[in-house]
Amino acid sequence: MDDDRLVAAIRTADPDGIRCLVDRETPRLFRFAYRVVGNRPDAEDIVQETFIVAVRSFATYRGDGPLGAWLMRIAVRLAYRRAGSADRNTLDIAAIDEPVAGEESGDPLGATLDHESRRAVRSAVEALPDPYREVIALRYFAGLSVEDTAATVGRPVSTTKSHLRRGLQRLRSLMLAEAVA
Amino acid sequence: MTPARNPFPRASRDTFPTDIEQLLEQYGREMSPEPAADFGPRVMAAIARAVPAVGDPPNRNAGRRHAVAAANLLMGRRRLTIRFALVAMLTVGLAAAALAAELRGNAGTTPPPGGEAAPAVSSPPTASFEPISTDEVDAIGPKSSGQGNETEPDDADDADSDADDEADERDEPEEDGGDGTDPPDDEADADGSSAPGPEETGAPDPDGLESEDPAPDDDAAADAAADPEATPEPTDPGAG
Repeated sequence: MDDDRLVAAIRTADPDGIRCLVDRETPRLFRFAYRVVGNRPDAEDIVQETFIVAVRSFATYRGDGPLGAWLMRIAVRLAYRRAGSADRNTLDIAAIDEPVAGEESGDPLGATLDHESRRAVRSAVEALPDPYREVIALRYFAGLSVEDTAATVGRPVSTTKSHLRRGLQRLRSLMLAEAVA
Repeated sequence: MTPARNPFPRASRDTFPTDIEQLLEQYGREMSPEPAADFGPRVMAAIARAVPAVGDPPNRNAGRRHAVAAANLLMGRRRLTIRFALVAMLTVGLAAAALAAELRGNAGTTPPPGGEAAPAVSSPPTASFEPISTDEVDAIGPKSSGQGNETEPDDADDADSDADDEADERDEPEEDGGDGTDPPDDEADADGSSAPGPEETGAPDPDGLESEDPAPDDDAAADAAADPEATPEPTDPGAG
């Protein structure tokens, strides 16, 4: 089902259309949320809340971009809001990281990053200010291309590339500082 | 002269932090789980709980379809026909309501069944007996107005007009189906052939009493027989 039919279905609160949207977008949203928060229950909550917010506030969707990009932008905000609240609650999300595919299969590449390194990556990205955090999350956590990232955030591709470059530079500084500390 | 230094120099491709980019890509490859198999239904249930419109779409769609259908009817090609039909139905309904109210108002003066209408003649005069006084008004007309019997009914007093109106209203259903186009004329009142009987109008009619009622009251029957305009003569010379 294409975006136009999905949009019409959501506007009329058609359950079949909403189910199609959920089936189509859930895997991508879940992977992104999992990469931000690092655990499955929080990732599921974020995805669920993303769909609820989207259906409730669908009147704000202007239709000038892909529907999936609009959903992903909602998920970015919700995920980092939850990640921030988890940090304030001093919850060590690295401790509840699930074993990933690389570790289960014994792949040496998959085992390159241990739990502490993953937590450091997440914390560093979370500590970035906007708009760097948003573009880096969309580009590397959501797996979007540079062009799709630019379309999602509604900025030119050149501006998005600039934000990515500066965000990566800041990220390196943050991780180095944390490693030294 | 030294050129001003740009505080925000453009980063070249050489300064792109590829090491951090590779680290993030590695992180993304590792952190790629799939959602649980039952996660989709759980999301749908949560949406249905949070957004009631999703959980109850048929009624909403039905209302929407009805609204669209009504709008198409009133705004489509046949909108004039539909609007005229609505106005006609409303007019007929109002007319029926008015007629029912009129019949209910006259029901209070209906004589009891079984040929006992004569006591109603001798009962105290009510608005339904005023046609009787029409003859009296016509008889004294030349004395009071000096215009003779050719005086138009519109020139008569209010009581006469009211009596004629009521008599015409009783005549309408039999005369022409009640379209209300007949003028209030004394000729129609005097013409016994078009006057409905008491059982048709629900009101006592002195003309009908003479032809159908066995005339238990001698005085009333004698008065009716003595009145030349009360007899059902279709060619009454004095009616003009």
